[in-house]
Order: sequence, then structure tokens, then C-alpha cells
Amino acid sequence: MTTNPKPSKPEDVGGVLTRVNRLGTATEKLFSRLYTSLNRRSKLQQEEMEKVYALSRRNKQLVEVVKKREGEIERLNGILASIGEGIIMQDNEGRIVLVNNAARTLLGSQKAFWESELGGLFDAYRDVTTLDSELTPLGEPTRVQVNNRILGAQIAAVGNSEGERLGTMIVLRDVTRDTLSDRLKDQFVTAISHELRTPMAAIKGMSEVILGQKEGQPINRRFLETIGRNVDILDRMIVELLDISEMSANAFSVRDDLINIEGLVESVVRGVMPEVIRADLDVSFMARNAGYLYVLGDDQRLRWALMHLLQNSIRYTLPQGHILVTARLEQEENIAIQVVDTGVGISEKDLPHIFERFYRGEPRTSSGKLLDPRGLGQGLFIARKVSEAHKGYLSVHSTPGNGSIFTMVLPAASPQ
Amino acid sequence: MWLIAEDEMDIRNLVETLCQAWGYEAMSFENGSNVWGWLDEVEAGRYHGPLPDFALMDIRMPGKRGDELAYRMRSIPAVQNVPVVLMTAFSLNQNQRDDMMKFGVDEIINKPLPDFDVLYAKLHDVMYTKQQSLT
Repeated sequence: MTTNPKPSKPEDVGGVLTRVNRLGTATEKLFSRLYTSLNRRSKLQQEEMEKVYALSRRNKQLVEVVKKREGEIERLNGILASIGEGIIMQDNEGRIVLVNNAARTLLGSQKAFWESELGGLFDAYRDVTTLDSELTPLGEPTRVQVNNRILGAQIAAVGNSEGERLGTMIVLRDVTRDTLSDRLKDQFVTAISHELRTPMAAIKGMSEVILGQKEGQPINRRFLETIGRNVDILDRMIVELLDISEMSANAFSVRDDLINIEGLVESVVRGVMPEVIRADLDVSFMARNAGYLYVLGDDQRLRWALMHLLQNSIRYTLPQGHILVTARLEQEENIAIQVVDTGVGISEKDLPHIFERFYRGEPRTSSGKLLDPRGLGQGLFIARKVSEAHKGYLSVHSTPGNGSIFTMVLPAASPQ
Repeated sequence: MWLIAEDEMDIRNLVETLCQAWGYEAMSFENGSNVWGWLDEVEAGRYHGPLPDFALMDIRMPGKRGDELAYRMRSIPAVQNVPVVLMTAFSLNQNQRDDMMKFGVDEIINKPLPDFDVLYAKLHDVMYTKQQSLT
């Protein structure tokens, strides 16, 4: 329906105007209200916008903070990666969250971690939830064996400033060498006391027997020989110990007399014959290029070095085994002396250490029985140092169960 | 008759000499496995020679240790009451000593051996005490 206003009468005009005016006012009011309301909304919007701005500013700040934290974490990771100690971090459920390079190298794999005692460390301290400080060591440091290595391990709880536990950190250090040298020291002290006391007992005892004899009675030569032999043993041991301390200080030097190696080896072999027979072994000596086997060197030191090699062969070869000693010229400039035995051989574990001072391996027969002859563990150390002091070397080749070959190479000298 | 077991030839000779000087006969073994083998014979009743009335043995010997031998002797009636003295050049701790004394060893003496009159007194003291404890 369309509304066509009726043509109005003049007397009506005033009324209409009044109405229009009223309408205008109303409209104005409406618009004003509308405006006000609109205005209010935009104000709200503005507040929103401001909030958004604030949020974005905050966001920006947070991004900065996160970046900074990331930088810190990266730096921390960098530090963790580069330090020598192995670091393993676990969360509160025991899951590994971080393994640094050193730890990876020490352990090889995470499998090794879980299979070793390290894997159980977390469980032992699972219940510790409140901490006094941000890093609280848990228990005493322990020693754990992983892949032929001995690792020192300290477990610690990591917490926040409120003392809440955030996770666990295990610090690892390779103490194989420390443990080895501790063990060598203990073994040495035990062995040296025995090695010194035994000849002392013989000397003291025999001299007392002689003193107890009636005056004028002839002295039993056998007693005197015993005393003499044991004095020699002590003398040799003391000289060798002094040598060892010189060798360790790199102050070891030897004489350079002309020595006939054939004669020297022969007399050393003859000297160990009683021991060879007692051990139910046989020994043979073969020399090639006789007449050319001369070196410039120290007769006594070379004798002892060779004697150590032979004594090892005797001690680590089972009855009815064989020992072969050879000497020959090699490429006209070196003399190679080899001691070959059919003994129990040297295990892979011992092989890298046998030339270390006072190291004594754990040689076993093929049936697993441990051979533990007396000795100080100085023999191969001395033999190698003596070879080196003659500008030569001493090498080893060994197969467990089949025997060992020690090769001493010395520069040849012209017989003049 | 004294049983002597010592792998160091010079010490063995010395102890034999002493033993004879004190008026006893000696039966000597140069390692632990030989004593063990002899104990096998005794246990099986195949040994008919004189039995020792005292044993002086080294602790660390090839084959069997002195304390192992002492322990086994306690289970063989023919030698179970023989006083056993062990000699050692090693330092033993109190636990090791106590263990050995608990399992059949009557006395442990250190090398170098004490002066002979002291040694004589000590060994005879062990023999006397053992005899007292048996009667």
C-alpha cells in the first residue's frame, strides 16, 4: 500500500510542520543514539584493537624471550656437547631427554646405557621430589663397567627455584685409567713385599743356620751358595727398580759395548734351563747369520730383558709345551731376536696394556683356569724400554690358546 | 715327621734344615698339587708310609694353596688332627687370617721367618696347644 498524503488544508500545515519537526527531533535523537551507540562500539573495538596490539607486542617480547632462551639452550647444548664429561638427562619418568657427545662416545649406544647399572640409577632415586637446590647430588658417585670401560657416575636431581624436581642428570667420567693405576699400585705393593721378603727369608735363615753351627765346624757350602744366590736376586731386583724409575723419568741410558748376540742368547737360555725343566717344557735356540750378530749395547740390561721374555714364556706355557728362540740378521741392518712359545697367549683385553709398568694380565688356560705366577709385572715394561734404549723396539703377536711371539729388534753393529 | 710344603727351593731347604736340626724328619713337597695328590692317596687308604705329626706350609703355591690343603686335611681322619702352620710373605688382613684360622689352620707366620729360637718356641707352642685341645 502506498501512502499518498492527502493535500492538506492550510490550517493543517502548522500541525504538519509541528509533526515534521517532532519527527526531525526524533530522527535526530535516533541518529544521535545511533551515533552514540556506534561510537561506543568503535570505542569497544578500539579497546579490542589496543588489546590486540598489546598482545602482539607481548607476543613479540615473548618471541624475543623464546629466541633468547633458545640461544641460551643452544649455548648450553654447545657447552654440554663440548665438555669432556658425559651428561645424560632424564625426565621425571626416566625417559632420556638429552645425551651429550661425550656420553655417546663413552656408552656407544643408548642400549648400553639401559643394559648397564646406569639404567637402574634413576629408579633408585625416583621418589625424590623436593630438592634443596637446583642441582642436588643423589647418593655417592659410583663406578660402573660399560663396554670394557670403567665409568665414574654421579646422579643428580635438577630442580627449579621452588625446589620442584624437573628431571635427573647423570654425569659420567672415564676412570678406566685411574682404576687401572690404582689396581697396579695395589698389586705392586703386594707383589714387591713378597718378592723382597722371600729372598730375605732365605738369607736370614741360612745365615742363622751358619751362626748356629759349632765353632771350628766347616761351613756348609750349600748354605753359602743359597745366601749368594738370594743376594743376587735382591741385587737384581733393586737395580731393576732403579732402572724403572729412570725409565719413567726418561732418564734411562745404557752402555754401548760390542756384544755378540749369539753368545748372549745362548747363555740366557742356559741360565733358564732349570726352570724350563721344572716346568716340563723344552726350549731350543737357533741362530742364523752367525758371525754377524753383533750390537752395541748394555750386556747386563739386554740379558735381563731377554730373561724376562723367556721367563714369561716359561710361566705362561703349560707342561709339554715348546719354546723356540731365534736370532737372525734382518735386511743387513737389524738383528731380530724372537721368543716363540706354545703358551696360553694374551687376551685382547690384556694385549694393549702388557708393556705398561707393573701391569699384570689375567692369562687363562683354554679351560678357563687363571694362571697367576709370582712377579712384579715389570718384565715386559723393562724389556721394551731396554730395546728402545738400544734404538730398537719390542713387538708382540699373540693368539689366545696358541701362544705368543715376542720380537726384539736391535740395530746391528759391525763385528770390527 | 714334619710335612713341609714350599715352592721356593731355598726356603724349602732352609725349613728342612731347621726341621732336621730340631730332631725331626721331613717329608717335603715342592708345590700344592703334590700335597693334594698325596692327600688323595691317604684318603683312599693307598698310602702306608709314616704320617706327619706337624705341617708347615706356604700359603701361595702353584696348584693348591696352603689354606686349601689345611681345610682338606680336616676332612681326612688320618691327618685331621695334625697341627697346621702356614707361612706367607704376603700381608694378610684380619678377615683373611680369621677365615683361615676358622677353617683348619692353627697358626700363620710371616716371612721373613722370625729368629729360629722364636720360631721354635712358636711352632712347639702350636703343637702343645693342639695336643691340649685334643685330650
